[in-house]
Amino acid sequence: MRLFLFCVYLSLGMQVLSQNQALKLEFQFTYGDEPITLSKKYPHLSSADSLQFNVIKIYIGNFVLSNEPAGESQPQFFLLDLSKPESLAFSIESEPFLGKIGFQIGIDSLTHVSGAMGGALDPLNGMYWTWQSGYINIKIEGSSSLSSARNNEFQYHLGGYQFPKNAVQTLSFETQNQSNLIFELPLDKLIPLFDFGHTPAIMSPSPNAVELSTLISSHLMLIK
Amino acid sequence: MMKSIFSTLLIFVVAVAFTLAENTVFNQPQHFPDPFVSFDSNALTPDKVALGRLLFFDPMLSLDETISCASCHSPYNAFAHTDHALSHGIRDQIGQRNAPALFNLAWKNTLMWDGAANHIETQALAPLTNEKEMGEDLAHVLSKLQASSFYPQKFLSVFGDSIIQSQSLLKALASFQLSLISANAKYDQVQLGELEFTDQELNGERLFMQHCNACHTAPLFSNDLFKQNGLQLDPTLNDLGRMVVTMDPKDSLKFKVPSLRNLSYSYPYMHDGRFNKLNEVIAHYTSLSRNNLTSNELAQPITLTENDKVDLVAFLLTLNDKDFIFNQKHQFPKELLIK
Repeated sequence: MRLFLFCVYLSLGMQVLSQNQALKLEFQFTYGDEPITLSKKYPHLSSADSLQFNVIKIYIGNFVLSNEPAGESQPQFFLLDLSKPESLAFSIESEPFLGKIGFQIGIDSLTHVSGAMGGALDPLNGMYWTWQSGYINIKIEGSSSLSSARNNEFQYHLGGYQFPKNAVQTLSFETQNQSNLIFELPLDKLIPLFDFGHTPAIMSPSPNAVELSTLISSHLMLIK
Repeated sequence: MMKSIFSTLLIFVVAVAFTLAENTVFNQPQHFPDPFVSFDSNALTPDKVALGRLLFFDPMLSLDETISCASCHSPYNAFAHTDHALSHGIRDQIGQRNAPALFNLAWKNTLMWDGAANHIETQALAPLTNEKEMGEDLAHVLSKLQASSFYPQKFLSVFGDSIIQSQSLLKALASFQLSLISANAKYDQVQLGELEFTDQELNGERLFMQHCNACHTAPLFSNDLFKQNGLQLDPTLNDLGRMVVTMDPKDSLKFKVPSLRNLSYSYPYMHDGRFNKLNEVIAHYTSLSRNNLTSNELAQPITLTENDKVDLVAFLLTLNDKDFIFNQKHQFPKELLIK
């Protein structure tokens, strides 16, 4: 009898598992509606000059697929790296969900204090500060003649996981699409808000890092 | 039928428990609190500790292969760097701070003088990549280890993968350091009822509990917090301590309270090694000029007679743990000579 019940339980479990599906996510970094190419010159919209991006890398993860505010998140992180186009699209496991997707930009504090990590969180990915423990959540580097720094470079290494300099951003989007979501970060909208003259570089957890992280996250759009 | 399944399961669970117990080299001293560090994701197994020891003593980890972790954290100095106020790295470059002694690290929440490292496993990235210390790049270290005829086999046997991952490197280094437990000084033997203090040491202990224990809390002899102990800024270093990490002016000149175990082996003292002798340290605390950031624990002046000072030092010397210093498992691994 018990064996029978166990078999029933197992087959029910298999059915639940088989209902799980892959939700494909794509992220696009655009400038004037075009996907950004690293090292290519783009017009700076608030000046007659051009600018270019050399690095765009962003951590994304802790997905929550639920309408429940306290829905359980998937403790997994992905590193979007514009120099590796294959990193910009990936799938996560999803049960049929109720029309809302939440996730974080950046690495949460618990993961931060959990020791050496591999995969997307491997310090080899160049997204870990060594002089001070902590992941860089968002790395955007490039050059613009408006930058007051050496070689007209701008370097934003945005991170920080401890209050009040916690730069991790939590986002949530409504959607009925349950198979393939496409997000867009239009950098042409963001760049005019960056102050290359006063703050050409942010390299450590700081109020500036939190402010810029919030600004960047607020521009991420779900376009499909 | 159910009974036999149950007993098989029980035997299995007991066998697993024994295997796990056998495979850990972390021995919790009975008079210590529970460790802060969790071993759930990095069990302290003998083979991992042994591999960590090889890496800790191997100068291959520095850019020009001249400096190992042990260069500045020598076992005979309680894993500090005696005679060097500030440690030196590759190409004889002088660093910014005194190399802290390494022991009882499982009881630490944060590491380094300013608490910049939040976990023992990722701490090693700091000295590895600091250009004045080992001057390396993580990917380059991994490629050197991978190219050696020695390490891939070692990593295979410990981590089940001959491709050396940064996670494995960091976990092995952390394991060796976590195995460094100093808990067998005379002080410890007195706590366990095996020895007794002399009258002089007893008076020293009384003075210690009255003036020092609030920060240098027994039995670890550190409360693991950051304090401003009245040292004036050295203008040649301009080291603001904890404030470098938090950028909070209230943390200016605060440094991690160091343990007072093994002081005879780990001089010079303070974050910049400015004092060579314990008498100088005691003179500092008894003639302190306070400011509004000086730790509250030092609010009351400390007045000690000459006899008191001698007795206090006598007590501090009971914190020397010779078994720890001369433990063969902590020394240079001879295997490195034939690798």
